[in-house]
Amino acid sequence: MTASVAIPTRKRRSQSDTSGIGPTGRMVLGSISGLLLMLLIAPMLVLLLMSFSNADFVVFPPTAFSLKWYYKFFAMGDFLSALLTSFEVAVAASLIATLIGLPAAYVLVRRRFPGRRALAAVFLSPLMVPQIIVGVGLLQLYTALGGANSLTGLVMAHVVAVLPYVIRTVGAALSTTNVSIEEAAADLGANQLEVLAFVVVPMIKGGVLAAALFALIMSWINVEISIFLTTTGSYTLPVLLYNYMEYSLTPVVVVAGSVSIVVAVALVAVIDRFIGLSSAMRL
Amino acid sequence: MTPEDASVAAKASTKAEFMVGRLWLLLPATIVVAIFFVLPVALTVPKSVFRDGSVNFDAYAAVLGDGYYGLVLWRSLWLSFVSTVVCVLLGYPIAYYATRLSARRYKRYIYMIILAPLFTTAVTRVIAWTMILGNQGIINTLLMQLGWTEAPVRMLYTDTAIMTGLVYTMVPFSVLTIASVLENLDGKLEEGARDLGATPWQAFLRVTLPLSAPGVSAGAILVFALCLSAYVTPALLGGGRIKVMASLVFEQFMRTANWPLGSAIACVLLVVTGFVIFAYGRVLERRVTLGEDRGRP
Amino acid sequence: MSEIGVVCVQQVSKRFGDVPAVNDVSFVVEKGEFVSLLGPSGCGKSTLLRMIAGFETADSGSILFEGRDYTNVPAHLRPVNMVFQSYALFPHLSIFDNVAFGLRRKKVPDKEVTRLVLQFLDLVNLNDLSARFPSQLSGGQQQRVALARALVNRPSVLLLDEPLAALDLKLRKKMQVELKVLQRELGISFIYVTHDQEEALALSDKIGVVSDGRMLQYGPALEVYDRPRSEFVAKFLGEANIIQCTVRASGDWLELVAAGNTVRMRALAESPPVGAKVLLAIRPEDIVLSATAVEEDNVYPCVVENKAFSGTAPIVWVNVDGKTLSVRSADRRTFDAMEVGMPAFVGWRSTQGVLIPEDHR
Repeated sequence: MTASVAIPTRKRRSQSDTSGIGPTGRMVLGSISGLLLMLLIAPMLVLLLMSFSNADFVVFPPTAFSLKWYYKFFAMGDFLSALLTSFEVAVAASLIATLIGLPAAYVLVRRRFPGRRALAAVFLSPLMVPQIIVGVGLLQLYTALGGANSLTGLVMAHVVAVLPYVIRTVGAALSTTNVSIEEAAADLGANQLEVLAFVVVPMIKGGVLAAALFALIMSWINVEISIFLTTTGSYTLPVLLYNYMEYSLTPVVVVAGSVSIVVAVALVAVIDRFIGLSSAMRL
Repeated sequence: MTPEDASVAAKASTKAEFMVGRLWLLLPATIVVAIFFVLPVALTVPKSVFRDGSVNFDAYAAVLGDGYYGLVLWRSLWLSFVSTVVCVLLGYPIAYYATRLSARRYKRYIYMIILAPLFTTAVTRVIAWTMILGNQGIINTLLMQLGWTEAPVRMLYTDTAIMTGLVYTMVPFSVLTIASVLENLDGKLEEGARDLGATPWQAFLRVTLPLSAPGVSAGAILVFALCLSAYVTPALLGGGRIKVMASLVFEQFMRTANWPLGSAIACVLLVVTGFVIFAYGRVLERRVTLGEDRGRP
Repeated sequence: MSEIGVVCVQQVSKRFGDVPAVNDVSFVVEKGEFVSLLGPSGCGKSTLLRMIAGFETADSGSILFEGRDYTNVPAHLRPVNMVFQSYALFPHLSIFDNVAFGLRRKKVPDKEVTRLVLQFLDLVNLNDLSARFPSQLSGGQQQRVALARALVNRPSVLLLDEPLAALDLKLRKKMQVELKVLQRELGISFIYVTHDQEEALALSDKIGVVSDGRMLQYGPALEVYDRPRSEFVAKFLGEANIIQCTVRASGDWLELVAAGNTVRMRALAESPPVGAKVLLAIRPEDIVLSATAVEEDNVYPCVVENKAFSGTAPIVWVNVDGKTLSVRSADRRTFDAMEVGMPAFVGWRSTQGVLIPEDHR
């Protein structure tokens, strides 16, 4: 008697599905993943929801909704000035990091030289070295040099913190272009800067923009380093929030948090538009 | 040939000059990183032993002698470890689903959802979790309304709260690293296994899991290092009572103003993190040798 | 400063890691010469070209342009221009801007730029396309743009890296002719890298055969073809039958013995000593084949092994005392008359054939 072999029927699936998991299995896995993804978003949604609450304390569930606390948030001097400071620092840090990171990434990706790997590792190490150590170190350095609360000092600290993201994103963009085109430009008489400006950047425009935006967000949300280098009057938004949170959770803080989220989501969407998130986040 | 060409040939006549000409674009970034990153980090060590112009190992004596610091270090390692494990356990199914099973157009949205928390401040995440875990938070309100408990259950300011916050922060990293590992893994290997008679579960267990292990461990080590260095999340979610290494450092610098002690603790943290990073590098090399990682820097 | 040609490569070497890509290569390109660097894939000819262009640095040796040392000068300062295999056109610039690129880097005034760009686009027959973009052009058109872009800068020497490799056969042949005409008109030296020996023979004044990073032979095309100095060159450039012989007699005539057969050759300037083992290379097109006896200095009976038709030069393989020789001729009647297994005669004149030393592995 011959044994019958069940031949799995191929239904329409996504191209990368090679697991052979049947419909029930996929449903289970899908549900688990869906649930987990919901758990990821949920806190953010809760925050957004609660920011519209009318109550004077943070109480769940919200009984009435209004923009009351938003008005209060934007009327509060210290929040507004923190918002402004965060913005100034983020824009400055992003610009500087992109300006120095772009050529650096170019040389690291295109040229071979002794010590290249080590240098690349050093440039990328702010991602792995505890930010607290960098913050503390800079605090000591700045203090020794005269002042630990300057805006410039803060900006430069942010520059090194976001530089890895710039270098990574630009590096990834560079790996998609044809080296011969750059060689042709050099062959025709363009020096390195001219090659970068007239040929490379136009070809990786989206990547450069994504890198700058990446740097912008990462600076915007930074608290681990900023907390050491700011003081009353020069707080960035995250640091101000931290100080508030050390005491208690008030509705204004909730609003501040949700403003933060909105900015973040907007920036993520823009980055995705320009370079696609999966390539930008190659870890 | 023109006269300009002639003078050009006279210049750049040594190979060294040639190399410098090609590398100078690195200079601005190198200087900035050297001054604002390498220098401060390197200073941590001397700062911990120089006090008022003389070498002083008091801080280290305190750190290494007092059992309290050992306890804090142990707690930091333990909390980070558990958080990492949970991250991997949660991250793997999501990553597997995203890479293998989801339709192409959904993948993008899944990535956006996963990435979103990463682009918010640590404080924002803490705010959200405080609202969920607090005595008047969502969970407690729900529990009390359902009548399951009379007094609010203490969830905030506990080890669990810290780990929840850490996991929430790190799951995106974990999903992304595992997803990139799975994307690079050739699906044909799974198919081959099933072709030879294995059930999907067996194929996963015998083929996908072992092959993805090095990459997943590299991701886990990264998460572990990040958990160890976190201080905002543990400081706020742990309240004043539960301390980890990083929040100790923070305290010494911002509250107690005992900088040498803070530096000493920071040094210990740096050394421990250094070990972890080293392990990461080694596992990463193994990935390249195994042909898994196509040599991305 | 000496006037050694337009390009002088002196004992240039480069290694990548442990592998020597270019090994002690020297040659000179004169003004107005069309030189081909010919060799199989991976032999180092492209690396050599890139070193002349300035994209790779030499580990040792020097590269001179009109007698001046440019060895360590970066690519953008060299008086050479290159046409890339992939054309490497700037995708974000129009054809006009592509061709104008080099001129603008030299700060040539706009009016002059326009005049020159249009002149050279006309030269390569692409007048109407200056406003288009590279992605809108065919492969052949892109290639011409690449040419115009390089030539408009009036380099002393143009480097071409297998520029026709991506084109189909007919287009390739057409472009070969155009390239040759262009080169003659402009009087610019060309250094042309290719693995196609027919192409090299058709286009070049001089050929350099490269293998494993070494320049095996460099000289006028016909000379390299007629007088190869190594087995590799004999086999790579054209076809060759290689026969192992021993020298029996030297003097006015050279007598060689191979498998019991005697070959008579006219004496050479430097004849090998009696008893020496040499290789005789004789080209298939130099051998005469006939069913009846032939009148040549060297005649041997043979048996037909096989034959294959080709439009221009059908080939017949014959066996002479265990050695297979290939014979090519345009004579259809002889070809048609040959049958496998049939006895026949082959022969060649004593002035034909070349002695080459054995390749050392």
